[in-house]
Amino acid sequence: MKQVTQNRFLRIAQQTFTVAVCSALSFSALPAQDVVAIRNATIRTQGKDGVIANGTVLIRNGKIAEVGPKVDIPIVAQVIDGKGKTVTPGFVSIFYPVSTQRDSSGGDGSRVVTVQGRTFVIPGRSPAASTSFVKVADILNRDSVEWKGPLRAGVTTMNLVTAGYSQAAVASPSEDKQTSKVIEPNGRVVVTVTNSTQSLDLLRNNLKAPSRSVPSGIPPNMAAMMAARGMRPPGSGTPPGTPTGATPPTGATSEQANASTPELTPEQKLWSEVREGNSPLFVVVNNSATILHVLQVFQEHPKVKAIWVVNGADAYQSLAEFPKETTRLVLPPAIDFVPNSRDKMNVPAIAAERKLPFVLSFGTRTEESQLAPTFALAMLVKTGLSEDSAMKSVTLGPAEFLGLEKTIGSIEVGKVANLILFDGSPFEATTAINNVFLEGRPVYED
Amino acid sequence: MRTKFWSLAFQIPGSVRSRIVRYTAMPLVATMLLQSLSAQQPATPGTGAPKPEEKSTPAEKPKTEEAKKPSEVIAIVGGDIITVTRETIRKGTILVENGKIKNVGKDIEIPSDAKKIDASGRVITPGFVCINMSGVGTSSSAGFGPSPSGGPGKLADELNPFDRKIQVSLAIGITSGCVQIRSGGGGRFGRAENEGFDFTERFPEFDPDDATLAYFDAPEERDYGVIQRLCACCNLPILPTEPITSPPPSPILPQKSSVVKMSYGVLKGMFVKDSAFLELTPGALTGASNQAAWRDQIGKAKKYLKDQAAHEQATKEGKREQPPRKPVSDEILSLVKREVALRITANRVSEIRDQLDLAKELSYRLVIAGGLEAWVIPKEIAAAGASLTITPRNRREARFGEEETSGSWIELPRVLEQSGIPFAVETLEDAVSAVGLAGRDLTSLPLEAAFAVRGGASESRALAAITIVPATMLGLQDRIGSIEVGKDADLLILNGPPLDYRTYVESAMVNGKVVFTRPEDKVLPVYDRAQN
Repeated sequence: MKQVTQNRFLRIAQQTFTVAVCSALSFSALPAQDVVAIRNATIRTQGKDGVIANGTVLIRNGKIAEVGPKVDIPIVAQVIDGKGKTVTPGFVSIFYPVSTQRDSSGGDGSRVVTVQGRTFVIPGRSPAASTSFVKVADILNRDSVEWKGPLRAGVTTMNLVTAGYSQAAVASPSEDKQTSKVIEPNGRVVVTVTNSTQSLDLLRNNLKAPSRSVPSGIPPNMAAMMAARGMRPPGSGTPPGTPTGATPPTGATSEQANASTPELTPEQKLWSEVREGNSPLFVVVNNSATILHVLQVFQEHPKVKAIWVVNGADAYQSLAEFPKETTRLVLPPAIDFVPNSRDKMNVPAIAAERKLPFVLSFGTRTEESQLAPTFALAMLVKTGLSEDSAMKSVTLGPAEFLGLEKTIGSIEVGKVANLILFDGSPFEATTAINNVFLEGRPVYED
Repeated sequence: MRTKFWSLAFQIPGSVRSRIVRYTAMPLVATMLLQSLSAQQPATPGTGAPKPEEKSTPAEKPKTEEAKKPSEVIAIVGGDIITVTRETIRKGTILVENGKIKNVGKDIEIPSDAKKIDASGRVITPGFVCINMSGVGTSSSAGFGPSPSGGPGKLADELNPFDRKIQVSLAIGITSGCVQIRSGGGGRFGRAENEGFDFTERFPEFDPDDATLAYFDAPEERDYGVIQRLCACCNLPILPTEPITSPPPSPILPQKSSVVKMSYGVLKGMFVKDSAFLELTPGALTGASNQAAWRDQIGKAKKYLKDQAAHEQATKEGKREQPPRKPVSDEILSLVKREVALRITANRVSEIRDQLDLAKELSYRLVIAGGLEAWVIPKEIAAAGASLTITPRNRREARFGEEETSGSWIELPRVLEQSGIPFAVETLEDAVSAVGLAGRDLTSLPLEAAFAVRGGASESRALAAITIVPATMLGLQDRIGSIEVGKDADLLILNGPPLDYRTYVESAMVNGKVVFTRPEDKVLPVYDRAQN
């Protein structure tokens, strides 16, 4: 306990110095073997240790080296006194929409086609436009993503998605967009579904086992038409609506189509993972009816595990319809109105009561999140959600949904040291964030 | 003051006035009730608050759990059952299993594990069938959106079982409805109104919705002919324009109607029938050119059916032949096969006669909508085997000089009943609407049927006009429209006679599941009328 007797002034000086150095070197230049200890804090580990009152977390090399009520703090460690404070795992934003800045002609309800070298603007969106597959990691524009805001709200991991039909990417935000990095470029498949034939067909066609000559995503009649006209099927991932002259990739793709046992395209591989239940599918729905329609589609594919991004009231209306084994919900952290009524309800609490796995979509409302990052959590806890499931639903829960529960989501030895230091209980609306640690580095300080 | 207004409004005939005097407690209902039904209900309707036992499914949760136990038997006991097609059963029992009516009668053994719904003092009728409905249970653009296959989206994919309008419909007893699919290119006026012109017509083979366009933009793939001239000022090609002469009449494309059930919160079983009815706009078959086009299409359809039969025969014999090409839409084929009926508006005697002649000549089933002047020629209609959908409150002035043989007549329902012409009752508007004049929209369906009673129809016939008759027109007489063993359990528990304007639906069951209860769903006022 020598460290405890360390001069307070020295500690503060050390801290200040560290912060100064950090700002000067823009953090990434910090030596990785830095040792940080947070002591005397309430630690919500979300792991097997549960909540440790008056515990210590020791961070070494960006990982959690030790955690517990009694931890020997090495003399080189930078010590942060956490008396009256709470340490939680960094929040995981399960559904963080990013803009992709592509195909400007598709958005405004008109599109441009070129006929014999002449350009026409045709009203109406292309039916193929919304079914185009986007890999977020490939088209991510770092400049267009708001990295800092979520970080200030304690979000240390973001699942980046785009509207429509895409493959998500998991990223780790940093105070500098250059150091923000994609940690998992091959994320989950995300598909936005509405109750329309077009939208449901995308799901149905992709969930079907791929036939030999029809590339996924292209309706059979179109493939037949293409065959009749002697056209080549496009390579997967080729964005439709490409300007004139952009011929689809030849070679490998056409060979594939002609081969007797064609290899699956990357897109098809993703879907076969989904079909077998190895990788959950993000289903974004905007109304309760669509939930029933999609569940009807899933009846033929019982292995499919779905992560439903839904609004609380919509989920509530179909809550009993969800098969518990294959359902995970992503709910907004809010109180909803009971449909057709002015009564209010706490849908996350209801889901917890029914033992439906759910997480909260967190960190997307940046302005609100920064002022009172845990206000929404506090509100849900005050109206019936247990503290533990509230905390789990923004940390370990989403990490599990993303398949990253082994590295992030809880404060356990060996995991990445993404931590938040609150100046009180995180379930009080007035509590603010003191520090956010990203891989052991303090990246945000209030 | 109010009584005075009502008496004026309804012009109570002398025959029933005496009854009103006798039943001072129920001043006006009597005019709207069948003699038989009012006899069943000697007490004032709607006594007592809704009993808690009736709230068999108070919230979403039990509703869906119920659906997962298909073998559960529900017993509705103690109610007076108006079966419509058979005799009325006093204090009878209905057993419901797997969404169907398992048994109905007076002395029926109730399984011990059956879930009981007490309906004593209540009236049970089949759910009402709405023959003309729009915008309920679907988005407004249902059937509009393009699918990747190029055609319009399927209604089955666009249903919304959580539509509040479903609850409103259930609140007045509608459990099934025929929804028009207004797909593009309908009828003779097929050119889409919102678009300047039709691309496909202007540039043959250029389909802007062709998904291949998105992938292939190689110029050689799409050849629209050699561009002859370039504009002198802007140097853009002058593309072929539409001919100035009017195009030949395009084929008449009847619009399709689908049947959906008002199964609130349940998608399974909501979609009943894809093509139940053909609709044509009024005037689509008037005029020589229209009728010629129609004859042509029906002729083509008949020839196609013949060719196809021959083709199947040849295939059976092992010959390999090209199958015949389908010249008309599937809907017209099913019309020719008499699987569905054509419904077209015809009000004047001449219009009705035209339609009767066409239907007879081309031998398809005909349902006349409107039929205001049908009372002039009931024998001709009966002889042609056509049926009608009427709106008893619809009125039209007689034409000058033809006062005896034109215009509407309040006794149209009586004339139809006496001539043996089946008629269904529809409302003035086909939507659930709060913005229009109250009492015109779908929520006035039973009231509209009551006005058929006012026009001289029997009460049982009026009830049939919103149950079994429309069910038959839709080809669903084996599934809905009456309470019989084996039919779908679409039932209403009412707190009074079905055509009484004071009657409320206490609970409604669709496909064997309670989907509406008045105290829970709060559509119509929830209060105890007995205190008044």
